[in-house]
Amino acid sequence: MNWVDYIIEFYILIPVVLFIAPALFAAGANSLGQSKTVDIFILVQGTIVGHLAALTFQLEGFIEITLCYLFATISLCLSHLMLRAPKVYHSSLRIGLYAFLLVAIFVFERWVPGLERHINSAFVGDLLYLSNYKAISLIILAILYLIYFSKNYQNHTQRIFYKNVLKINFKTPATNHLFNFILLVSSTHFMGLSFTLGFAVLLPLIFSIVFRQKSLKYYFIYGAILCALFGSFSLIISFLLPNQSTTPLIVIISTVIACSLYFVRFREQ
Amino acid sequence: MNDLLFDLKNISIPLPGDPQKLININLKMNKGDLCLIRGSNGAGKSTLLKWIFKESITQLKLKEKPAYLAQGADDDFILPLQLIEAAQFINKQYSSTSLTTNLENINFQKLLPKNIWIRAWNKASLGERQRSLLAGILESNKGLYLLDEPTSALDSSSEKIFWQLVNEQMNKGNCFIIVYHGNSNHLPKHQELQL
Repeated sequence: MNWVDYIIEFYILIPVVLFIAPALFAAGANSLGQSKTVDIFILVQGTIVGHLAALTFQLEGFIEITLCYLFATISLCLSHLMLRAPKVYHSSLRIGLYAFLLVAIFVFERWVPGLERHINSAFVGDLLYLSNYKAISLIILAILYLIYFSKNYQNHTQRIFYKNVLKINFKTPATNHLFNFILLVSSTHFMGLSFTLGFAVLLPLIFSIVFRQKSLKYYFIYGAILCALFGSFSLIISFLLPNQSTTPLIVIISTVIACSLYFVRFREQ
Repeated sequence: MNDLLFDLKNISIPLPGDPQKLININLKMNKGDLCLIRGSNGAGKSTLLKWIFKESITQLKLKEKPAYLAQGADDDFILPLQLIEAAQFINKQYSSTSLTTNLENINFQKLLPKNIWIRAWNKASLGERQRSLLAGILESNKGLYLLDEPTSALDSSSEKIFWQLVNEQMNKGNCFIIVYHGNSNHLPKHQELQL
């Protein structure tokens, strides 16, 4: 297969990345602004544990995704329980929980022979094996998330400002938690850990440095647009290198382009 | 017309670090009053301000929440933010009208001149940050303002402008309770509460 054949064969992935990348960016930037990035790590890691638990007991389909949501919920609840400890311990305790979940993955490896391949696919994702049904579900989810986020943009940024500048915590609405949760768990399950962390953690951080002189509105709008463009472009480029892992390549190419913006466009500001 | 805003008599407020220790308060505020809270570190000045904000509707029986500005301009912001956005954010919290329509207001621009509107929060000086927050909050047209050391990073000319704007608001019948350590020549007529 040549490059064009790959694009024709996997054309559905282009709109998936085009919508899921900005949605992950919005969720990640919102978490970064509220100093809750560690929650993304825990949620993503909990999802992977659920995914591997399902494989261990040879559960597939609906039960498998349910287990992902279940383990992600348990992980997130544990993380929130840790917020009851004195504030000085919050970060350390939650990083400890992330480390625990990371190690827990390798417990399954002893139980199930050949699980290494699944662990690997959970990390890098099975993008090329994504069915049309799952791809369309992801596109719809990402579009819904983007609509929800843009409709509530003022409230999100207001909360970020108050938490950082005035040290006042406003309660985050349950719908916000729910949308973030569904988006991150689904993305981890279908797109892999590296794609989710790349667009929800790495790129929001890089753009916060690249656009440091700009406004918050500019950061959210241009960050989301560039994530969509860089992600789709990197996906097309990855078809040129069919022997390489697609998802890590998308993240690496997008990251390199985003970093290059710092040196090319905004360095003098 | 009733000019009384609230009258606190023999109110005891526990200090957060030492709940056994209580601050005893007697404070009467009429419309257009300014009260300066003074006292040594840890005396409970910020605690009193927070308490008034929290109990404004229940114990003080005010019709609306006051505008409250805590100390906080000294922290950096991880995401990009410009000074004009900071002013708009704090204004939006307390005001029913959007500041975007009042950006040309002379008083607003006295504290936050146009030439520093797009300055990045992390690159701005503490004084510029504080001015952006004060410019935003003073445009919210509230009946009561609670400000915690609002002039701590301001230079003398900015502090003069600030007290002029406070005086203008007081003439409209709005009240201020301000934690203040300084001794400016431009202070409007006020009462003091020593803790």
